[in-house]
Amino acid sequence: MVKRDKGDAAAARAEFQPYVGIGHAAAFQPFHAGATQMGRLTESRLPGPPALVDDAAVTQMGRHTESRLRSPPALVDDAAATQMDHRTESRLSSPPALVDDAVATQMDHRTESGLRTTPTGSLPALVDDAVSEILLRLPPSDPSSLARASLVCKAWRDIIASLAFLRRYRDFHQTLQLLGFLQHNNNNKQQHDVPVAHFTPTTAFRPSVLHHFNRRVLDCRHGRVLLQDINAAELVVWNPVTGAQSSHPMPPEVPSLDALLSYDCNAVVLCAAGAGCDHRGCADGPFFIAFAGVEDDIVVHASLYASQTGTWSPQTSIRMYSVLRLPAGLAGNATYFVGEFSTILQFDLGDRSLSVIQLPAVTEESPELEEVLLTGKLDGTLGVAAMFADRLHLWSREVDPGGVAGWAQHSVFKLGRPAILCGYADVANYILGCTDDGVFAISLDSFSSTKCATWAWTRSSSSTPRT
Amino acid sequence: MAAPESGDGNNGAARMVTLISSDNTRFEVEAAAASLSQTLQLTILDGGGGGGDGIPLPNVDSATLSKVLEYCIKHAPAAANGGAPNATAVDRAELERFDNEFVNIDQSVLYSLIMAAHNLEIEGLQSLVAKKVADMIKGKSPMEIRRTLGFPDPTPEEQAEMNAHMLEYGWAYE
Repeated sequence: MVKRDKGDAAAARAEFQPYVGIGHAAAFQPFHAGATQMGRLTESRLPGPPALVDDAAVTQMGRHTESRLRSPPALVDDAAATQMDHRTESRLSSPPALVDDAVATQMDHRTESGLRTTPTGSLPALVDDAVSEILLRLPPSDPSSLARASLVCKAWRDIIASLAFLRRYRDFHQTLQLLGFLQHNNNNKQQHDVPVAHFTPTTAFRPSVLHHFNRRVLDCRHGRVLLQDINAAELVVWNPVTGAQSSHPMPPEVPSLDALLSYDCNAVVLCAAGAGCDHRGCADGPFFIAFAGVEDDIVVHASLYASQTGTWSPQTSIRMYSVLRLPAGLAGNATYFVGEFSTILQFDLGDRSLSVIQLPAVTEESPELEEVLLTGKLDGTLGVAAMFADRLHLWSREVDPGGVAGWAQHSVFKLGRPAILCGYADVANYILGCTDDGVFAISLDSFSSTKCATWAWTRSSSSTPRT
Repeated sequence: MAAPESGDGNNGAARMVTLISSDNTRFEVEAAAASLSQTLQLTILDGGGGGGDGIPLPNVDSATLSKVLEYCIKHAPAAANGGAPNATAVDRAELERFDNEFVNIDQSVLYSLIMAAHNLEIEGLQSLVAKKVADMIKGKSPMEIRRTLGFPDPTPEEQAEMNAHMLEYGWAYE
């Protein structure tokens, strides 16, 4: 390495707290991948509904979605479907407020036709609507529940694989599940150390690939993981839930292959669907990559890649000394990269302009503010988190009525133990903190922390990886 | 509560309606309680079910209906409060205790309740029984789920299909 970067600083601290590397929190909801592109699912590894619906079923689902008011469609068997449609019609055509003879007649009719014979003691006889009510209540905290339920029988599999069910399941369980986090052995002091990006699961869910060799983690956001492939000098976007991977070129300005290892750069992957997306089901959709790289320790270049066109924008540049390989942030329509000397680089994705922001002024007791984590929230607020002793300090970027932006310290959370802040999951609003007692997920909504992993991966295991 | 008897109309201030189960048992119950059923609500609003008429429920037997009405009577006051925003913690705890005990029942009764709640569209009850079954199957393997819920043994084809998927999704079975 030509020079030490922030990742090395974290690794140096890891001498005392073993196994710490740069982590990236990955908040996925295990089934969200199914919701966007049914066509790709047959070859994907969606945890859960292994046998997926065919086109006919999708069409059918679409029709049902439109035609029913309540209780989103589960695929019903033919007899039930006829009956359901019948009920639906009467429901649609009789607003509850109307009370006249005609409606009453219709209602009586409906009461009779809507009721079905009570089955005798066996769940298989239940209509799919009732089954989906049950499946809906399987806990998202254990992704394997739904996966196992999908193997019970074909009817259940069809329900779970259906677009409508997945959507409903997401809406029913508002909280996203932290499925795991990624880290890489960020120090390449030893020549034989091959960069490895490693996925540490925090639930039963396992992606099809746990180790990515010769790859570094750059970012983890909106259900996607952005990896830098050292051998091929390209960027890889990976969806751990479906297993889908795609390769994309590095910006044309980056140095040649042999200089790449020591090239200081950072990048953000983000959904390209725009502000209306809740990022719960967009992981197979189009995305942007915002990239920042340092040239000769004095200039930072940034550019934007659009997956839809497969091209990089012209680069914009600003005088800045470094871009650290700490997790970057996204807030509003700008991405943020941590630099040295308490600076943050702001890259506006709209006009691709660059500016440098100073980190919050530090107090006497906390003279240096270097180990920071950016926490760009979905509402567009840029935040900064830092640990002082066992306390988590949080700042947010606010604009006063005069239009001047500044930092406001808004909370201090006593974590109870020192931690290295190694990742932020923006959709779930979690910070990932590494302590000597394992990895903790700290919710910035509730200010509660839960242990989500013991140290699962050691640096030495990178040379003898499990597969 | 809800003892089988022939209803004879109003009883004090609360309006009563009569429901008739598939085996011809008559249940007299407050209109507010029966109205937890979306299916019955409109008929009741329209004045049906009063007096000696009664609303026939040809697909719900008396044992199930009695259980359903037990739920409705207990939950009607809270529902009348619009989801009981001003309910005390004690009231809520009492309802929760009731719910827990209510679904602590034989599986065949549970299934009948699921169907009845579904057909009568009683949202709270649908949710309660679905949660109960979800709790029964979570953490179980597909075969255990099938046994728990009384599925017949899988056919060889179904078994082969299950095995294939289990290989692919081994992580779900650790």
